[in-house]
Amino acid sequence: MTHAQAKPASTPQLEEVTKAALDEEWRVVVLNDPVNLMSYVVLVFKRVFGFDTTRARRHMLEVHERGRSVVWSGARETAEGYVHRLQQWQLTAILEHGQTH
Amino acid sequence: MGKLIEIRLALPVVAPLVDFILPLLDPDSADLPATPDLGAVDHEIRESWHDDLLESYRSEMQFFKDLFGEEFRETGVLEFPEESCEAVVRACASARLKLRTEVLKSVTDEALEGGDFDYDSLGSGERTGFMAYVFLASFQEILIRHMDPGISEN
Repeated sequence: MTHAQAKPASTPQLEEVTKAALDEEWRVVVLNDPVNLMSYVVLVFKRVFGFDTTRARRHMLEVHERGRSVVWSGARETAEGYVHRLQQWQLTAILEHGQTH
Repeated sequence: MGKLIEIRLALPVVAPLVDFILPLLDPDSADLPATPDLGAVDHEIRESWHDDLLESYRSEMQFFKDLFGEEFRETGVLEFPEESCEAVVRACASARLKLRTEVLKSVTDEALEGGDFDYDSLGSGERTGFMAYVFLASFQEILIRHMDPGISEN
């Protein structure tokens, strides 16, 4: 029967597509800017990601000294949500993507 | 009822700075103070993304204008609920960004970040803008210290 034959044939394809989507890593990157205070950036990281002060400060210093810091990575939709929130706080945040493997 | 925050400012010093800032902050603004990089954001949601940011920015500008309203003009006192600290700090960040993009354009990013530029070489408007920029930073620092004392340690 057509349906019975079609289903098993499409499953591996679907699995591959799903696996590829899951393997895609989206990164939330914060770039340095000359406007925001260091303490403000730490506050934002704590508020948006729930980081403790040590972790928030580490990312802030990475932004300040290296010009950028990857503050979160994972699924696209969640990453987009974080970038949007960071931009609402007036941080220079961008979305980047790549493969995990 | 939560705590109220009361901040008393030196009116003769701060009022001219506020007078300088307020006309720059348009709650009906059609644009964000700086264009966000939406490069990797899904094309289908870019417009709503931008609109959300603009709406958020507009409400912060209105909040800022209300904060430095009539009562402040008469007394030099700012009074707001403690839970509004976050909104005040955010509004200050937006106002500083607006000052940077509108008034302090001639100062490079490196010079502005390091404070390494000749203040005397600035024009009169730029000087006032820079003083307003510094005032807002100090205001933010005070509030952040209150909101989360651990951040300002070390």
